[in-house]
Amino acid sequence: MATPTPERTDVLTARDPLRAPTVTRRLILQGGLTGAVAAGLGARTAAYGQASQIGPATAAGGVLRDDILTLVNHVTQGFTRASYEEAKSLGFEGYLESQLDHENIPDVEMDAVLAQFPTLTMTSKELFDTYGPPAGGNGIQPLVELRAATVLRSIISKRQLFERMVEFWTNHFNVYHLDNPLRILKTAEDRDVIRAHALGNFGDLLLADARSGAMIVYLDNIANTVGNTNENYAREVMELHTFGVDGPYTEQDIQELARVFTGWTIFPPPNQSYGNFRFAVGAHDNGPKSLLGLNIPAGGGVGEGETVLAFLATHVKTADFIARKMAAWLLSYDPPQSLVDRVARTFLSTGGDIKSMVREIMSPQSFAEYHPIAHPKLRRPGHFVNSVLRATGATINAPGGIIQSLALMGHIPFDWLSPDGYPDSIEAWGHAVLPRWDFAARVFRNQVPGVQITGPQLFGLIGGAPQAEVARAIDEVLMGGAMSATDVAEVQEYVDSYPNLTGSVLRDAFALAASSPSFQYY
Amino acid sequence: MERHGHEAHHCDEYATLSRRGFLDRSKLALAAVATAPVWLPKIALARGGSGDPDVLVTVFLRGGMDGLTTCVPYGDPDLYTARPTLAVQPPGMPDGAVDLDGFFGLAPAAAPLLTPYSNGHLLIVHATGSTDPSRSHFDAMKFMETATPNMGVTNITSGWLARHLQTSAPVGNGTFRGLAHGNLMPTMLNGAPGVLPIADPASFAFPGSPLTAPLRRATISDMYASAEDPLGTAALGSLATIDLLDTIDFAGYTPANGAVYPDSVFAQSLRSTAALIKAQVGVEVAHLDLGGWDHHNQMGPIDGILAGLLDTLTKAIEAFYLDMQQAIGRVVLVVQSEFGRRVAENGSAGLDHGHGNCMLVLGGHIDGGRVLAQWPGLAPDQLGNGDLPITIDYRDILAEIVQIRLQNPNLGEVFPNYSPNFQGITV
Repeated sequence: MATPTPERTDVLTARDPLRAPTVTRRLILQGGLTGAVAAGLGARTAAYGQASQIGPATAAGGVLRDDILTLVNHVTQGFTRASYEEAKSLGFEGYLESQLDHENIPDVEMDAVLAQFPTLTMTSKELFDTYGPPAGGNGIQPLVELRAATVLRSIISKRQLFERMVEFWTNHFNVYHLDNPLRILKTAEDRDVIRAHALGNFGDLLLADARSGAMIVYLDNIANTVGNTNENYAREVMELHTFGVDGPYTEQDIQELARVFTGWTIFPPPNQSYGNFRFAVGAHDNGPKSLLGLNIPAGGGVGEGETVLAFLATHVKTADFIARKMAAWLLSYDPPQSLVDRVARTFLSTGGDIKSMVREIMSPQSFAEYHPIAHPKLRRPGHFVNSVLRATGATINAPGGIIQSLALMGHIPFDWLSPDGYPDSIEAWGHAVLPRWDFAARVFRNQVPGVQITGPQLFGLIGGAPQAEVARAIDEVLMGGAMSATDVAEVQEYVDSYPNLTGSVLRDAFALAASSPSFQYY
Repeated sequence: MERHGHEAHHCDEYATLSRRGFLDRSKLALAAVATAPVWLPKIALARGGSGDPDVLVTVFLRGGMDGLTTCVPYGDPDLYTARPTLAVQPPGMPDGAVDLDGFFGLAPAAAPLLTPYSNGHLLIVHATGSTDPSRSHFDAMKFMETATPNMGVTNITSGWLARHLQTSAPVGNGTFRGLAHGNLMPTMLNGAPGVLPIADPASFAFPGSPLTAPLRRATISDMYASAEDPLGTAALGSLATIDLLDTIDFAGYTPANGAVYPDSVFAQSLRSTAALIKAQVGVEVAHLDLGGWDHHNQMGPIDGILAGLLDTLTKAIEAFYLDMQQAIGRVVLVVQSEFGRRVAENGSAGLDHGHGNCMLVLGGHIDGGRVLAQWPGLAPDQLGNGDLPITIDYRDILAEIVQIRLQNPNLGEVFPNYSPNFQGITV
């Protein structure tokens, strides 16, 4: 029987809703199903015939390979054949649930890698004593290890959805890493606040963050005392962390909230609990306060802040703000209000359960309403790097070269100065393309220190494909076959201009594919 | 917002890696903006003067620079009532201001500005800024950079400087009309034709082996020829810009007049800007960000954080000014910040978000050597909710530069819903 002619599905690089995407039907290895795109696309899919059945795996084979691939692309830091096969075997819902159940995903390889970073498990006090002033140090080692661990986790960890949410909350509760004492305090905050609650409860996360040494220092609560208020945290906890800038608060509310947080400080060195939360009774403004429609009587102590944080964490405006931001992170930039409303309702009805919100965002209904394939997101530079390394299974011997590459692209973890965190938009990142081509060219030439991709590895990845099929094979490796026909054809034309498929030609072909417009999106 | 500047970390491994001495941001998640906005009428691209327009260098200080430290109104006694510990002392006192005109002075850390000031090329505008009442950094920046203060939610996502470029004919062939130093496109240049974010112009080169470069370049060029914007335009623009920048020897560039640029990322970006301007390759705008100005705590105007930032800023500007002497008649450099800071100090030797601020305008055709101000006074009843009022809309300053020095009369498009009132800052 003749091999069916392979057909391709383009990644929809058409971000502009007014331009029809150039989707063609994709190769379905299982046969039988055509790869049409979600019914929710409306007019855009009219040219492509039947609507898809978006949904969990059913006996009728309702889930399309597209959706599994899409799910993998949005749950992980980049497609790998292994992730995809796992998702296929578990099915859409099964795979999502397994990733949500992150604590029960064995991560042996990752654990072995993390063991080389002892600072990750140390207390702030221990870090201070070992790498700070008492040891004549400048606190750099914990910073270096946390950066490295973060990058390596995003590439290697099996708990990919967890790492995606860690990145989301890290940006949301941005803390700038480079100044002392944040170089030391960020480690505990990353572990005990962000990672402890990334797939937990939003209210718990908010409270833990408010009490973290890193946030108390970063946004100046440490200097916020009775009669000498500092409004920095009070402003940003509403503007950035809960309500959003158009939330129901005034400048007066900010001033009053600053009074609420007076006394929210940390144990100073050399205390054993250095960096941990300490409520300084004497620094707290005990007077009555009125803000956000709440009347706080005198003498409320630390409970005042806890009360307001709980109020913020369960507010309808917070639900809407967080729901929208999470949907934009996990799906795409401009989720419809109906989808946001559903997720916000989930937020409120579960009291802020993050897993439930993720489940709602990655539900069949949400995919039908706002299918990511129709609204591709731009990989931010870190994601781009991770995707290349994951798809190729590159050997990572040391993280320094990866960090250096991220520096060239302006996307080192925790290196964003202001509390709004790294942007996540095409407009912000989509003009700097040369640094991506540069990384692609270097990594496939083994010019990224600490990263190695051998010739045999690359030939192994394309699985014996002949020269005439190389671009297609590379497409399968890097994007599961989702590269646009144009990009595949261009790479193939490059390969075809050489008499033989040498290792050098193959390296360049991989680099060109990773530099393609298709690969910049997910 | 976090208070610290960025220059102080000393780990050698990272000294060259962390290129961020500034806060880059673009908050726009939506709408394609590479083309002129829908509401922008088709207008004949204007070239309204003789000779080429000046090159405009814009510097945005992210976080809210304290204008009352940078340019101290030491002649106003209410300053010292409001800031018993933070106010810069009058000239003649220890750590006192550098006198400018008998009422205003420069913070000691900003003393390098005296060089262009005393040559009549630096104008300081005071009690100016964006009239939008927002005290949110991010909204204030957005409104200032899109030039949409007090307009609430608009669908205007393009930057004012982008709209200037959209409504004016290119000086060169339009391929590379400007750059933003860094990795992100600032809001001010959102939608700007022929502008790229470039972290380091000296290393903006096509990667990989020169032997295979032509074919690889052709492949990439073909792939991006039909790619969606902004990537498509950015890619093709990058390829052309690579060739253009290749003609400029940044590494071997020797600043003129013995100017020495400090080592800071900011200063080095100004140095490469100078090289770029002198190369006359058609660059019309260059943008730099410098972040870390949000001093709620321990502001340190004399020997602390603010002093350090002013030192970084002004030494770099002085070097640029000296370097550009022979060409200063065709350059305008503008320094602004999203808002100033409150007049009264807070309890942690810092200042909270304010309103009115000062702005710096430097250039050969700028009527400098003075402080332009309609000084409202700093007594509590003269302030707006404890903040320095704005008596001169920042758009008045920018509009005059755009029309007179950049030769673009399309002010209605660049600054929508606003009739600028020129202050006579150009000569």
